[in-house]
Amino acid sequence: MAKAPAPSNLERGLRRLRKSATQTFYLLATLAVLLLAWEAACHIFSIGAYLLPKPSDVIKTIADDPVFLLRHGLVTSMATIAGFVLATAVGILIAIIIVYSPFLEKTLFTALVAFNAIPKIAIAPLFIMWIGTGLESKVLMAFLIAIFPIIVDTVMGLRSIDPAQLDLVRTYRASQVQTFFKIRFPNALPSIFAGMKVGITLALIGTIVGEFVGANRGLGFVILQAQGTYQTPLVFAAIAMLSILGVILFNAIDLAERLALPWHVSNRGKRGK
Amino acid sequence: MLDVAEPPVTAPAAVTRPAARAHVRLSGVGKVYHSMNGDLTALSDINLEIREGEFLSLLGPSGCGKSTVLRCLAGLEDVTSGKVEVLGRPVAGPPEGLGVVFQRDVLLDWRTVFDNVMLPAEFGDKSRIPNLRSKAMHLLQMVGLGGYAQRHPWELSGGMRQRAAICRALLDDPSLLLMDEPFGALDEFTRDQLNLDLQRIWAETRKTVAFITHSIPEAILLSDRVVVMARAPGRIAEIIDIDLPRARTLATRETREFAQVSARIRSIFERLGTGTP
Repeated sequence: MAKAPAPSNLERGLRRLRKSATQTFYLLATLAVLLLAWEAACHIFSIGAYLLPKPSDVIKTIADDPVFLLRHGLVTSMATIAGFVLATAVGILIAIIIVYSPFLEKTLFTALVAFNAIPKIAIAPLFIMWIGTGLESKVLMAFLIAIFPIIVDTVMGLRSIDPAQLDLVRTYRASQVQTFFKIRFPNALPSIFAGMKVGITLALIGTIVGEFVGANRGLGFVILQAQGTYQTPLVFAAIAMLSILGVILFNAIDLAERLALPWHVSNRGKRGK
Repeated sequence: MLDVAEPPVTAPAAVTRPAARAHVRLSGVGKVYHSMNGDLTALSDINLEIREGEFLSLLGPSGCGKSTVLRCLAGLEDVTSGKVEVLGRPVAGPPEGLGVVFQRDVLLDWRTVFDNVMLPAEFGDKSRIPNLRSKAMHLLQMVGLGGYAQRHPWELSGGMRQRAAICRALLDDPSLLLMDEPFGALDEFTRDQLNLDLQRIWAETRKTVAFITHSIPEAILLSDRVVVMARAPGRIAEIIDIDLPRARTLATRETREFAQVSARIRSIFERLGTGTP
């Protein structure tokens, strides 16, 4: 039987790189066009800088003191990542418990759904009062908002197992632990990553909410402060920084998923490539 | 158009069957599924003995309970009535020395073909693993997949995947091999080739095989005996000895004797009123 030639990893990587480079180019081009239109509109309609600053003003603000924004960006990042990592670890554990214990599913899961219905934004001031305005309260906010989608998606992933695979390991008289690590968990990983992608986005939102409510550092704090002193270009600069941060964090999870799940349908690429 | 080189015709009396003991015994087995919509009798009064080293086929239309019989043999289902014994011991959960091949290959996407074949080795005594690694490679080479060991299942065709699944089932040297329509999803050419491969493997290893199919020619080609099953309720209609000499080839299917057995089986199905399986 002739052996099918496998595309080298280098070939595959270069193809993907070229594809994403093309996509990035179009994205940046679209962005540039929008920015130019924005700049032109501000000039033409003489919009006050405190309402809608020109892109050139925003860029100037960033260039004046880039370290300032980076420093606060780092604070926001740390809180977000910490909250997210905690949400992932605890969330997956809770999901496992829910799947393996029908009793805890009825009690714990119901409680979680009820708790999740409460807008965390509304109870954020409470946490600030209890825990203070330091990093911990932001981590807690990020954790509380991010954990629910992670739990839900992980539970679904752990439950959606091909019964034939379960039958297969039963014929080997596999223990519950073996079944979990060899069958359930690998099967659930695509769902878990889906939950994590939503989770990281929400973790960032949670951190910002915490910084709005009570903080003296972080991009949310910068936005609030700058808004209060009518430094609208700084507000925009902070928002731009936040967007970049959000994109980086999301793509980090996406990259982790592609590295961890090269076998998944979504990552295989076309047959023969 | 009889081929001159066709295998010689032997009268039933001349065929010697090894006096083997029973590997599997089903006595008065019944299986009823209870549901909100009522009870479904999947199996009714199944009495069957499978001898050691025998290749036995279960042949019948959809819904006749052949998969249920296999699942009861594999210990994946409990029987509602009667006994299932493997080597004299009652079955309560999957017994030892079992190899199963399902309808779909059930290979794990996140493992390479080689790691998939090695899966049975990970349950039980870990010290066997080095020996089993070389055996896995040998099995893959035997079915022509030696060059694909490091590929992933999605890179293989259906026939190749099923071959890998057969290697996996054979890895731990099972004494009882259960196969549930393993070639059903494949095209005819692949099926023919895999039939011959399976016969060769069985002849070399002489395992006890319980093979489910709804193809009459496949059942006759591979088996020592064919169990004809009927449905509603699932039961054994007749057990037919296949006295065609071994090794059987695709040419064997064109012989007069083959056609006679085939016609006999077909008439049983017609008599049962279920048409062809």
